[in-house]
Amino acid sequence: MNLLGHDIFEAYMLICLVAILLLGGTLHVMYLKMIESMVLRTEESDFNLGDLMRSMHISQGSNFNIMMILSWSLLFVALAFLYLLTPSIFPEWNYFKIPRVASLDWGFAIFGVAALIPGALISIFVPKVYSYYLIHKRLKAIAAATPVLLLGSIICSMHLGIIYPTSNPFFWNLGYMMLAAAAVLMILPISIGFLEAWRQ
Amino acid sequence: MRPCIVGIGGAGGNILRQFLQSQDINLMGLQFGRHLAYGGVKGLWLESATQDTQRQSYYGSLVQGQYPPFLICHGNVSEGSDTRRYLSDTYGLDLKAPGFDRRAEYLKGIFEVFEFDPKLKEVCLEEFKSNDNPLSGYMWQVGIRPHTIISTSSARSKLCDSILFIASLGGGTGTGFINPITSYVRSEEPIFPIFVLGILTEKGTDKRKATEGQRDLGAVIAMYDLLTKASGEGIDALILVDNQTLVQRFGGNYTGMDVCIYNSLKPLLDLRNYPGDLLQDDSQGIRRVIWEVNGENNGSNGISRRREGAGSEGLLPPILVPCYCIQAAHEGDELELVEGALGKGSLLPAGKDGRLFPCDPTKADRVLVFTRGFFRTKDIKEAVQERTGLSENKIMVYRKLGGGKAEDMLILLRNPYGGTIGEHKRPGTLEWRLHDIITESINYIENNEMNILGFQSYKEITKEMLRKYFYGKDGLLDELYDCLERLREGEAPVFTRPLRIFGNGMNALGNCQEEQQMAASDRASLRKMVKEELRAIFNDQDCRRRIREILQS
Repeated sequence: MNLLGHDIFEAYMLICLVAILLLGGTLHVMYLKMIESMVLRTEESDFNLGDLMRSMHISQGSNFNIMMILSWSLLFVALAFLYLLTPSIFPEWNYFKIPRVASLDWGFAIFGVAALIPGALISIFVPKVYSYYLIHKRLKAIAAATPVLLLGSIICSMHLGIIYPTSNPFFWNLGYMMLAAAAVLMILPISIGFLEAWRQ
Repeated sequence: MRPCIVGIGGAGGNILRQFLQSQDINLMGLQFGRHLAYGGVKGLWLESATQDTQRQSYYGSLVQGQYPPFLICHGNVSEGSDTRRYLSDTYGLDLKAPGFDRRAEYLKGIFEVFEFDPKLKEVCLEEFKSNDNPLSGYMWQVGIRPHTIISTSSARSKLCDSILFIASLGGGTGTGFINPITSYVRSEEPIFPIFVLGILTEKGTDKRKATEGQRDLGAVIAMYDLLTKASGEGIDALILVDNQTLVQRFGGNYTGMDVCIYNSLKPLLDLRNYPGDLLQDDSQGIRRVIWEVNGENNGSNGISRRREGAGSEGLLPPILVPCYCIQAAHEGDELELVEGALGKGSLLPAGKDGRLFPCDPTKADRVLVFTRGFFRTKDIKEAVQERTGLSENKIMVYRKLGGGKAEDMLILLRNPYGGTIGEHKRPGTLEWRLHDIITESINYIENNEMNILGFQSYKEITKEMLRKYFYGKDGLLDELYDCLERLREGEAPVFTRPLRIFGNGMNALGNCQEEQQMAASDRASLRKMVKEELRAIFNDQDCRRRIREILQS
């Protein structure tokens, strides 16, 4: 079963993953709007969204921030490894299409670093989002498990890259599950913050 | 408000631990980077008993650069210190005493003697260079100051804009140290906000077999000294918590009590102000509001003034009683929070509502309300007004943003006592609780003269000074009887006249020292010397001639 020449299942899974991340972004915007409306309802003086965001800012701790920066960076690496390492999902867009890199001893590493660059750029800005939420320490600890899941996903993908052209659906599914779980954990503080604000 | 929280003694250290809990995560059991406590506060545990610091693993040695840190108060005093030897030989007081066994007067004496014995001061300055008091100076300069914006550190924006001392009132180290250290800091920094959270110990005999009377005496001495130092001489406010109230709520769960105290103060420490209220809750602003006297209330109903004839007139620091309530964010409104914090009826049995010290909220002369949640200032004021009867301009509201599962409210009642005769008989009032501890203290003083004056190796001079302080005319005992009278009459303030052990300046001490020295061998030799001098004068021909001339004229 192919969709525009690609495996339809994996493509749907990719859409789900993107949807999770988009959901996180949407919930964040809605959260800010909800807080703004609640403050507007109870505030006598004028303020703008910038003032509100400055007021909402709270330090989450350098360890947590580092873990979230690492998580967002690794997310893109894990995504690239799962979908672009072997030609099985995107035959035209994959690691093996660059034979000079693929034939190097450090080929996987170079591919990983290349995928890390956009991730790192995003990760500079995204973790700031967490500073607008009251995140319980227990939740922080859970969210901090994300890099482990992402590393697990990367290892599964690397295994698939090593055994290519043979394939192993179990490792792909495992890698995907870990990636999806990591994405859920990364937006969990935002989702919980949104739900708490929504209940008010 | 971002205070440097200083826990003194065992109880202070335990409560401080809650405040300093890291809000950050551990990475494989380790934490890197800056320690992050709630509200960005910093903290320090001051302890005199080295063995107590060794029995725990949470705090690390400040001297070794660890954080959260503990500091041994006498850490800079060596075993063979000249100052220590002088103090011990002259007064029988030990600078390195390992804990102070429920005796507030012991440390009070140690600190006062440094102020009033110039020779001791001289010895101390020679040994400790810039410090004329080796304990207070060390604690302030090495322990506390570096965490405050007064320090010269480059990261000033992350430093503390005030100090909150936490000490038990009725314990050992905290009860003894709280006055000397706050006075010292004030002498160094005249306008830096200094607050004290004092936790009155519960009723009955404690685990260390210290009787209620003995502990209450320590508490009364500490409170007395804290509350009789006028504006600019001591603390800015004493926040009172009664462990008896917490015991009724939590049974013997001391950790639960510590958590309760920490949670109650969270709205004060929260940095997420409402967008329009950003500058409201800086420490200097709160300090100003706490000291503010309302135009129409210059007397008993406003902030207390030191009485005339009781030293220089000045405003006295207020008592603040914290009242706290928390509820699920989607349940109830500000009225329910206010009622939860202050109680619904007149006076409920202690422990059934959010008051952390028995008091009648309607007696407060001013109220500071700290909320976390989404409320209108007007609605909060109306709710508080309904419960306390205070006018709107005496209710200060500090709103912090909500956003969590719960919303909560801390209400600080300023001086919720006085104005009505006979309130000491009504259980649940502040007068009733103060009357209780003062009565216990009086009983202890009257029945334990030997225990008070015969402690360890007190020298005669110290015993004499203590006797005057406790039992002398206008001494503590007399003053406490006056305090009881004021409580019965509904007068405020209760504590008015500052009292010292090494009291009336250097003259008293000097005379006493001279007297003691003369009493020894010097008196006889002086007598002999005077006799010889007189004989020489009268034997002198010139002198005899002059005397004859005077007699003839």
